[in-house]
Order: sequence, then C-alpha cells, then structure tokens
Amino acid sequence: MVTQLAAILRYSLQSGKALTVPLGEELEIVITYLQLEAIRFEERLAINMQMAPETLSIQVPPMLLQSLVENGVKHGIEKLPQGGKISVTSRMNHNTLKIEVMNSGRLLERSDSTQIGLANVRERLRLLYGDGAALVLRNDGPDSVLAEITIPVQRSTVA
Amino acid sequence: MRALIIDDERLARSELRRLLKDFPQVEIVGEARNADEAAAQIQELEPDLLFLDIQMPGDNGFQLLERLDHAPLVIFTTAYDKYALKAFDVNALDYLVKPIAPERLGAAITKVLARASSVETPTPSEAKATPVAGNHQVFVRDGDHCWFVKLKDIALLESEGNYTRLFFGSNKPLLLRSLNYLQTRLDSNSFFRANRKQIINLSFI
Repeated sequence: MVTQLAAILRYSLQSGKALTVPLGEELEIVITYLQLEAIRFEERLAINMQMAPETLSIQVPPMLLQSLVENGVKHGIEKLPQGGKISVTSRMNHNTLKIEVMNSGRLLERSDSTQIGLANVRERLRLLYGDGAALVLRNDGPDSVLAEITIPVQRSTVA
Repeated sequence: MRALIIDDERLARSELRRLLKDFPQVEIVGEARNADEAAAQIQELEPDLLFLDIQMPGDNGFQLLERLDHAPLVIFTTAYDKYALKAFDVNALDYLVKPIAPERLGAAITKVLARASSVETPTPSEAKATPVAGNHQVFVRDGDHCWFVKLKDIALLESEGNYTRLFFGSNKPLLLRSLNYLQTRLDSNSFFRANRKQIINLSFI
C-alpha cells in the first residue's frame, strides 16, 4: 500500500517535467491509484479497463486521464451508498485517440464543486492541441456519467 | 457508556473499534454504514455516544443529526480538514481527524465522560425546574451555523409558516419543522403553547 502510494507521488512529481507520456505509462498510475481506492471502498468499487493495444504507445499529457478517473471516484463512487463502477476505455478513431472514463452516478447541474479540475484539463488540451482536442462530460443514461477525451494523433507520434 | 460507530468505510470502522479496545469505559453497541442505518440503530439501541463520520454517501453526518429528535453526545470523525472547523463551530464535544491518533481519541473520550456525568447529575434547581427531557439536546443547523442545544436552554419557539424560529442565548436559528410538530415532541409541563404562533419555556418566566 505504501509502495503504491509512493509510486503515485513519484509519478505526479515527475510528470511536471514531461509534456507528454505514453498512454500506457499513465495507465499504470491510474491502475495503481484505483487499487488503492479499492482498499478503501472494497466491494463498493468495481473497475473495468478496455484499452486498445495500439493506443498504449500514443503520447498524452501526464495526469490528464488520472485527474478524470479521480473525478469519477470523488463525484461518483464516493457519493453512492452502494458504490459503483469505473470504466476506462481507449480506441483509435481515424486520426484521433478517444479515451472514455465512465463512472456510476449522476452529473449535477448545480454542484458545490469548484470545477477547477475540469477547467485545468480543458486548458491543457487547448494549449497542447489547439482546437483539435476536446473534453466532453455528460450523463450517459440515468445512472452513469461519461467523460470523453479526444486527442489528435500525428502519424509521427504513432509508434 | 454505550457508543455507535457510524462510517461508510469498513476499514475506518474496524480501526476505530481496534483503538477503542484501550477504553473499557466505551462499549460499542453497533455499527452503521450510512445515515439511514444509523437513524434506525439510534432508535433501536439508544446509544449515549456517536462516533460520527461527516462525509458519507446519502445524508451526511450533519443531516443525520438534524433528523433526530434527541441528539446523543457526538464525537465527529472526518478525513477532511475543511469540516473540522465546522464541527468546532457546532460546539461538538470533539472531532477527530482521520487517521485517528490514540492520544486524541483518549482526550475526546475524557471530555465526553466528563460531560456525560454532568448531565446525569443536574443541580437541584435544574432538577426541579425542568423534567428529564430538559437535559436532552437537539441538533440545530441554520446555514453554516450548527448548535447542540439543550431543550431547557430554549426560551421561545416561534412559528414562521412551516418553519419554527428558536430563541436561545443570542441565537435565533430557523428550524425546518413546524411549530405544531414540535409541540408534540415537547414536554407540556415545561413548554406552554401560549398562542397560535408561540411556545414558551415556562422556566424562563
């Protein structure tokens, strides 16, 4: 548990140095984080990952997926007495990378949250990719929330 | 002293249980995972003391207390500092920030025991002026301000539509209950329905 926590802290400290990291590397830290939360939530947290293998080498901004998954836990799972599920999927769609984070719960029109995490994600995407990238957050059915990131992929960055 | 542990996380409950082994004065009579379970157990077990997590799915700790007609003694437990101040505001006996340090737990329990023994032995004048119910406390919240108020300290209850304004000390919070409802919950020997809009605590006259 301490080792896992150390891995997350080390990664988040070092992530400031690199503009982008391979998605696979980011995913490792997401999995480590979810393993830690699973200790806390026990049967209240179910995890589902479906990553297309060809997406794992694509460069993405560090701590971007991680912050969306943290959001899903904080605003979704944590608020549900019975808990719920976090799903992370990635796939290629023509020349764009699509990453989806789905969590049980409901997006609130009015919330007490500062929304600073989301604003940060959007601003980072804009600075790196201009209008080519996007983050969409919406209700997906009656009891799940979907965050979808679209990142343009240059051929040169596809390994 | 009979205590109920209320926390949504099993590990937090078992950790508190483990820490409380060193305090034989505190007997754990039950555990609840959320406000609904807690409300049912409080009714059934009538604990003297709650170890109450503030941040829980569903109703939070404050909302649970607002639902109770009589609030037991409370030690808040929280993993969040931003709630710490609020708990302090409510004149709670004590709050513990998780992870709980054994020394802090010991200090909180000492405080609770001191307060409980003072409640059980009211001064003769108090005993005469107010029946048993007068020493019961209720939890009142108005916006960000929270209080544990002893019924005997409430001088006046005034109807405002479906709500009721309480007057105690220099505070006048609005309670989300009707005056008619409150009348059914109050001891009519101490609290007199003077008119349609007001119930007066006779010991203040």
